[in-house]
Amino acid sequence: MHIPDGFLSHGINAATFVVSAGACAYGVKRVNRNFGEREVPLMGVTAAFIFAAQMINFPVAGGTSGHFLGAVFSSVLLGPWASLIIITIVLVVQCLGFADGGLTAIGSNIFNMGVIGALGGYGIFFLIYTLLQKSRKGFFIALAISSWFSIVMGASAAAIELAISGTSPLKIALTAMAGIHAIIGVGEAIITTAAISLILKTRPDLVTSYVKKGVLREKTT
Amino acid sequence: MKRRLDGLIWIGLGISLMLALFLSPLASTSPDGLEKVAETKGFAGKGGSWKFWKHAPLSDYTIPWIKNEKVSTALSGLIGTLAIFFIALGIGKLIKKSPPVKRILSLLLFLLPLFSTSVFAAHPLITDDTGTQGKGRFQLEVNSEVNYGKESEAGVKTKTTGGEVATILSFGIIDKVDIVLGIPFQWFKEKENGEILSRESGISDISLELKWRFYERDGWSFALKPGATFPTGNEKKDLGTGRVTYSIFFITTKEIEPLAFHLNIGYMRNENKLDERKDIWHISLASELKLIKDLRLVTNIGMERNPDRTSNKHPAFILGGFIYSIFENFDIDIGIKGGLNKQETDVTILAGIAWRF
Repeated sequence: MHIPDGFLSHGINAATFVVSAGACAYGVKRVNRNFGEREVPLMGVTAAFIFAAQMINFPVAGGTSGHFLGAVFSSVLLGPWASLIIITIVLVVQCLGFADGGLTAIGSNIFNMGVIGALGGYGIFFLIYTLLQKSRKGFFIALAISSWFSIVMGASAAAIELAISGTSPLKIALTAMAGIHAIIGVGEAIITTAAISLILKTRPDLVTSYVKKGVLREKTT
Repeated sequence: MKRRLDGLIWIGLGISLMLALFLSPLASTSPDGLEKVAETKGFAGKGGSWKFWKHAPLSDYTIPWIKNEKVSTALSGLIGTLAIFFIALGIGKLIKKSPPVKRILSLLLFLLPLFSTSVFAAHPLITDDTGTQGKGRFQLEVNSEVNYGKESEAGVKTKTTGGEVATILSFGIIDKVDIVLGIPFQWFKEKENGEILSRESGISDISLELKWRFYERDGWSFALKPGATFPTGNEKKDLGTGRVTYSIFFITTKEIEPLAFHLNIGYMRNENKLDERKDIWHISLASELKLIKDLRLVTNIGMERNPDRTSNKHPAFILGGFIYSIFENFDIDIGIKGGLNKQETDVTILAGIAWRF
């Protein structure tokens, strides 16, 4: 989903850059308020894991491949704002160090995967989790659905940007992008759910959004 | 608590490194979702035709000089994963509960070494190479060093700290001959048992050299470098020799991609007013290894005759550092030099920039 240079118009890139930069600035403020000693190394490892996992493309239908994004994964671990920062760090390093994603499109990529993927994905997670009364089952259902949405929504945002830039008509770009990413999103949902459930089994205290909602407290009382 | 978290950090990092090392080479090479859509919907040609940022050292998850695709991907993944870990850790530390001003300052402090360690020029090497600028081309270098030395003899502890900033301008008279002007500025402080013995600073002896690359073939090249220094530094303050000195160096370079070796054998006629030895020889060997595009790991070892008449032991050094080309014509470098014996300065840290135009 990393958009290279040349696909988007400068107007779109500038607009998404401003929104992404604003979101990151606010994110730094929020993270600053919530971060303690233990979150810092966890942030390092989460970012390293996301980078490594993003290298592993898995085949999906019709000669296409997809890879893990990790926006909802890191949101659930460290909160949506820290997740936005992590995704931003990964995207900047991928762009500058590995020529993955264009430098002119960095604002758009952070917007699609960080603002839409991490913040939007976490919003959906939180909504479903709350609707399902924060049960353990509800947690995993919310996790799977929201991580699927984080991919599809991010891809749709990319399609809309492509359309506004005049690269491809909206109807064609949107159906193609959402269609292929609906399949990639299933992979995202499986990996996110499996990874989080593994961490929950070994170190439940690290999954911020699970502990905070008082599920563990319910269990002990 | 903290200890348990630490353990988990290493496990998590270990898993990530294993993913990058063992699974990334097996990843599907099919186009990803966006690339596929761009292909089938006919706008793939719009991207990839130009790139705004052309300096990505590990472009497309490969190390340029490793030809084996799988090894190249695995190692670039390993480097990236480690780099991301430290960058995210550093940024996390910075945004963790600290006042905004301090945060911005420390962010700058954190980013600066990031750029300077990815650093570069033939500096920090002591050993010169046979390279010349080319007719009508200039190179401006600003090289700096800070050094520390400690000695104790018969209960007297001498501590020396000093440094040098040298401005060096090279100009290509013809393709194979450079003229090189060096203007060094030095300072040092000598302390004996904690009391300042001497403290001086000023311009040292200016040097002028010619470098002529007279032979090159099959990766081998040879050059001669005659030169002289002029007594612009005050010898009474230990900033110069007080007389014109002469030198001649014979330089050999052998290139075997991604490696390069340089050998220097030199003789200096050290005319001086300080009762120093006048005949000084020099021998040194350097190697350069291109790690990735634009980043070179350099090592150097060498020895010189001790100008001090009272000693028959000669100072020897070993050096390691990095040279990084930020742009095609702009390099930054950093290095650390250690003395292999008492006669050489204990530790010297070197950093410099080179700009060719």
